[in-house]
Amino acid sequence: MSNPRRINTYRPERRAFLKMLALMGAAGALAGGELAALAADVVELPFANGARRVEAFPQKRPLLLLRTRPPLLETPMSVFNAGVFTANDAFYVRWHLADIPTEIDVDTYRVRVFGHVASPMDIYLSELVRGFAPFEIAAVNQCSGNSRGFFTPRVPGGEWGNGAMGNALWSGIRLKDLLAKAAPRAGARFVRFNGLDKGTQPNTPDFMKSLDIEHAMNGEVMIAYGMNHQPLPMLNGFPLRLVVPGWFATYWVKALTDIEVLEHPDDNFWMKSAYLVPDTPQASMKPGQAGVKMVPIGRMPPRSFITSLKDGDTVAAGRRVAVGGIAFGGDTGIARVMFSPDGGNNWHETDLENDYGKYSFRRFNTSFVPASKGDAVLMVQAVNNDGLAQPLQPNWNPGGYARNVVERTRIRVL
Amino acid sequence: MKPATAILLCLWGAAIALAGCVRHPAIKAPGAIVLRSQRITLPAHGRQFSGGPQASVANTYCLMCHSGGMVMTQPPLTLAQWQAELHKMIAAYGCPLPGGNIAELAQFIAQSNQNLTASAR
Repeated sequence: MSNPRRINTYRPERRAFLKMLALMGAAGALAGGELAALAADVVELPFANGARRVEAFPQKRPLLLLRTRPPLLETPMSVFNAGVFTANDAFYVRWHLADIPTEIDVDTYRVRVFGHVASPMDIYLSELVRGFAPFEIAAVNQCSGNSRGFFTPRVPGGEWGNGAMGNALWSGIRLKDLLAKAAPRAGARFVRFNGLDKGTQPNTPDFMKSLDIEHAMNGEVMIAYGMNHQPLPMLNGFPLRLVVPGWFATYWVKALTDIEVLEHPDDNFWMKSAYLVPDTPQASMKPGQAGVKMVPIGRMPPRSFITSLKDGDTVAAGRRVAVGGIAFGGDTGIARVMFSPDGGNNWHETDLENDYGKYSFRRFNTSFVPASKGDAVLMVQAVNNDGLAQPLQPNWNPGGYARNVVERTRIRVL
Repeated sequence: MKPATAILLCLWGAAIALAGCVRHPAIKAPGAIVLRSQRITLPAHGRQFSGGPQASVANTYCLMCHSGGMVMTQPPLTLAQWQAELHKMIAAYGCPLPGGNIAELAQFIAQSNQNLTASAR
């Protein structure tokens, strides 16, 4: 396990620790049992109220703690500089409902396929993993609200920095193959997914998500039992999770147990009322704007991040500086990643490394020679194979979803 | 060692091995991925509220569904926004907080949030 002091991304200094102490004191919000944890490291995300303790949960290295129960854990950005695939123990964690699975018996675990099908099934885990052709795909899993903390004006919700994302090689079976065996009947239109997580209150809506049946049957949507050739960590959905390549993670139902074929659109809370975005370019609207049509979030747009340098780093004038990072195209591959060493005045194309498939992170590299001393703003812009480029202006919507603005890294040239 | 003792020892060993199999089943999936039964223990508590009578209301109702970190990591929000959040918790998520408690609880959370975000700036 790595030393938590080494994974801090921003300014994990004593200053931050003292600030955290002051902050907790000011709120009077600290219970006695937490005092011991104060010795933990703190990462300061660059927005108001962005102090995050760094804490290790089961099967996880120390990650940025946003919420203990149910866990919200963010991946430090430094992890993305270590490679194209995100280590399982560093992969971010996001649960909605408080009663999450903490114990799985692989012998008794079953998945039900039911609803508008000719042959409903109740299939044991062993039958599911061995009874269908194996399938693998590399795909980015990104929370719909990744980067919500950067929204201006701010919006309530899980206040993530940029680390509510990860890339893995997913092993499992095609959902299409399982559904075909259950034989959807004429008129089947949607497929709804449910997992083991539950609310603690009788009126808390169970967390369920749905896809169009054509999407569910497209041969890419899969049920994964493997993540980077290992079983999934419990907190990422062991033993099975849905993988919906190119789509935001809200659809990637964890600890999957129920697959229900529907004849009608799904009107459950998590489809009808939550995870809605404006039906506009960039899912963007003005704060307070009325009459905007809202639709369920879906495909991801492209994003890119410099990972070899971070805000506040210093470089020497006149010497060549290597710049590397990760990019993904969203629902299609990366066409190119452009780099600007001077806040957007000049741009040049970067070199792309290995292609692990159109839904994967892809590493880019370039370099530049800073000519003059002073502050410099580095920018990267991904363009995907549909010609969609990251916008220079950030989007805004009340849910804090689908941010994909061109990122800026502020460094100092000495 | 007498043969009978050796046989007993063998049987004993086999029984332990068998019991081991039963207690630790494993499913060998393609790609040399082995799925074994798992159990994890999560931290029992997260952050809690303190500082006045409304803190116990918050600890009773808010913490039914989530630890205090959810509230304490929010950005600067207005009293009206906190009231809207409490209404949402009741209407959408089934929080049993009596409607008559919304005004005072929202006031308490808004004040805590203001202190937090002010010191965090």
